[in-house]
Amino acid sequence: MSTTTGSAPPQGTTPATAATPAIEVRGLTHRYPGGEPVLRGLDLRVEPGHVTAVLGPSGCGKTTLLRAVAGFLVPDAGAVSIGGRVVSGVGRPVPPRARRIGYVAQEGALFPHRDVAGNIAFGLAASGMQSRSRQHATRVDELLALVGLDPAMRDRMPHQLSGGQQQRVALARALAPRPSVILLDEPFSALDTDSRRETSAATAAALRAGGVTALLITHDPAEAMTLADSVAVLQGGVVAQHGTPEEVYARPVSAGVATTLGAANLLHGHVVAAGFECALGSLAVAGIPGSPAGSPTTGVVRPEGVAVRVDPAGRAVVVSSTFHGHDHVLVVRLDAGEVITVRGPSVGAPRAGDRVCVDVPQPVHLLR
Amino acid sequence: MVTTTVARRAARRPRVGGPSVVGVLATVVALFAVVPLVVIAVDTLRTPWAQTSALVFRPRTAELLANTARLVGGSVTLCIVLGVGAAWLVTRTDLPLRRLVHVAMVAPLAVPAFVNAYAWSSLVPGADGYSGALVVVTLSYFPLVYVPVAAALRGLDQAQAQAAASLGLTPAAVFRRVTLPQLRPAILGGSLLVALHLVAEFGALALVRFPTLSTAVYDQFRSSFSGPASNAVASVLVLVCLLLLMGELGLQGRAVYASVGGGAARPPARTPLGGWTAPAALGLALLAVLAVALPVGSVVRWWLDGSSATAEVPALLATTVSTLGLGLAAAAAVTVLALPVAWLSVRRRGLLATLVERTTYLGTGLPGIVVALALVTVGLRVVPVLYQSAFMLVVAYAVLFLPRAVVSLRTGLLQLPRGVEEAAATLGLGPVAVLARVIVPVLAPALGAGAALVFLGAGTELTATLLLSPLGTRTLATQFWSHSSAVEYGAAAPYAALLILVSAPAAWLVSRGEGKVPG
Repeated sequence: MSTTTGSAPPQGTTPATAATPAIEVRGLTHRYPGGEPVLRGLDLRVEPGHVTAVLGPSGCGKTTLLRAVAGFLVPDAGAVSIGGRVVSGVGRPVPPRARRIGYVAQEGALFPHRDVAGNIAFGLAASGMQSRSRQHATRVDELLALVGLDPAMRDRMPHQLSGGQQQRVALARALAPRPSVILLDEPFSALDTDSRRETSAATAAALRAGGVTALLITHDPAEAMTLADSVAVLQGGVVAQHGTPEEVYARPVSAGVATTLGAANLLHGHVVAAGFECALGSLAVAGIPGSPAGSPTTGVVRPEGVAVRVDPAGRAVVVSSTFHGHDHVLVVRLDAGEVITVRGPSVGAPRAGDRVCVDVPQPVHLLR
Repeated sequence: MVTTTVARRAARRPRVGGPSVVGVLATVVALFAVVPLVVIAVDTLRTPWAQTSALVFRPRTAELLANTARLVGGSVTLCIVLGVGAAWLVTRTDLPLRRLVHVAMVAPLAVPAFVNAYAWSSLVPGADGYSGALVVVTLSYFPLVYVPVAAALRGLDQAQAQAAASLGLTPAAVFRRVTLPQLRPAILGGSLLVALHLVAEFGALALVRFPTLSTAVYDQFRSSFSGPASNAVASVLVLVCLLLLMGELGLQGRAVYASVGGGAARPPARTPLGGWTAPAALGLALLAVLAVALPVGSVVRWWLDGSSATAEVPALLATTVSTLGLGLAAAAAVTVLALPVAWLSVRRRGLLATLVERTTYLGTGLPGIVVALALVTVGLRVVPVLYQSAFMLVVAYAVLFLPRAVVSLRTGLLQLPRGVEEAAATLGLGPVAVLARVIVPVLAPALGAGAALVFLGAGTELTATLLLSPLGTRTLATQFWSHSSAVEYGAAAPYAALLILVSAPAAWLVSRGEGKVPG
């Protein structure tokens, strides 16, 4: 398994000039009793003011990572720092209550006995008696506005709210004490499609407006890429790649990372002087090939990066053609045997059985 | 899929290293609950084996054991039929006046079993022996099955039953193949409570003259004050209890049925009863009449008829006050003790948690007299000042009624997602603040129900109270007992009436709080 950390600076040698990371995780290792290791020396750095998404399939260890950062579990090995302070790994672990973190659970976890205002103000006062004081009321109104909820909601009880509203209140509650970082554990996965879109947009807006540092755990690549400034792809208990959404999508370091972010055609071939030689012919290469000419390699081409044109003399045949409304997905089999997925405009799309000519107009990204 | 497994595994792991404070507290509570057992074991071991075996292995013991067994078997079966049937009718059908019926099904909790026995034996001369005992204890204890099963039925996801119906199952088959298996924990838990109560029951069985191991311990103690004899029978009782506890654990299996949904409850789809409405309503009405109206009516009649009906008001008042005081003290103490045990068993599932939780059940199966004698033995040696003090009596109540509060709190905690506690921790709350500001307020209904069950138990407790109560302190139960066992039905009646009266609010709390979704 590749352990390349992509664009993230090498761990352990942070230059003195660099800003202190909001969260720094080093060598995090954890195994549940009677199971395989879930985290295998994971390194991660979250820059202040950034929203960082941790993306990965089920069981890759992303929830374990979040629980270790929050302090809900003590990892077997490795260190966690929040705002430059070591909270786990040296000496006694700092308990969650002293980590200055905000936490938004999968299902909101609102306090069922408090109304919306009481939930939001919960972390503000050492004693519940003061939660209705004017200062808190102002802060509650501020936060309701920040997460896009009607101020009239302040007196509702949690069970009177929709799932999306509950999540917004949970976010407001977590933001209220101005924590140094916010941890979001798949906060939209329990919502239906519509409220999911709305709530995630409201969350992104609230996080940006507050300039909040956030760690977002998700298994949805679209959510990760639209909400986050940077995406860390977890595989096999380590960060396989960490970079901007564009970077990890266009220039994945491995086939696994490429497919985690979306559909990808993996073309096998070898490096030639002119670029990359594969079943689609000789293609231009993005950047400089990392390997000498003649060495075998894999090129990654997203379905929208392939162009097809109906041509009776073409060297490929359309196997299936699926209409998606905003676009159209074709599965094309090359005469050489390889199968390629193509996404293009739905107007004038070829039909199944058509012979087509396949072209890749943009330079191809090669895996190392 | 894998993530959820991981999350579930994570849930079982301690959050912070080192021994947990709650674990230590819970273990202390469990050790404390096991004191009577240790005393009995030590005494039995000290007695020469020949003497013990002579006391244990005789036809009388076999007869008492058989009586206990057929009472437990018969009554538990009847309690399951009545409790599950009534719970299903109330929660899942279009039965009329369901709220009222629910209250009526919980109301027998306010009528102590010995008051019930007194009512029956004073009205129906033939209510004696096995059949009398069976009727009386079943009518008194079926709510212990009804309450948890009704709560479980309310909490069950209707979608499963609907999915089964869509697969072509008849309503009866849906109940048998989908609903019933999921009710297993509630039915087994309730049955265990009934069985333990029956094993320890004294007053009601003494009144209907049905000898069991428990009444025999008391008789032995009364007749001879001889340690070895009552101890030998008590040790047989302890074995019966252990058997019941392990049996329930075995039947419970390893499956976890409790599904904890945080979402809004769907309005239940109710089965129309159609032509069965009248028979069902009549059946439940008859049950309520037999279990509540008959004893209450009988008490009222005896009070009005009784020659000594002009009971001295000050005495009645003083007795009521001391009963309330002891009951409330026990309810408060036991609820506090039950919190760490319940929390440990829900949040830190594992061998220690199971062991601690199960240990606290041991006390309930022991007759009050056995617990009291054990505490006297220990108390006289360790803290002689406390003998016949109110403190000692509350300790005895704690040992006897701890499981009632634990069961209630467990149900409540299972419905509180752990994320709620974690969110509170990230908001800067320490464990004590989480307890005070989140757990206690959210669990208020469950805490109230648990405390009410303890109050009911303590208020109607007889044998331990007789032995341990401070000189001059009389409770409604002991006063009732001294009059009714002397067949002064009229003199006993006011105490029974007051007992029912002070128990009623507690029974009402139980009907409201048990298994309610917080919020």
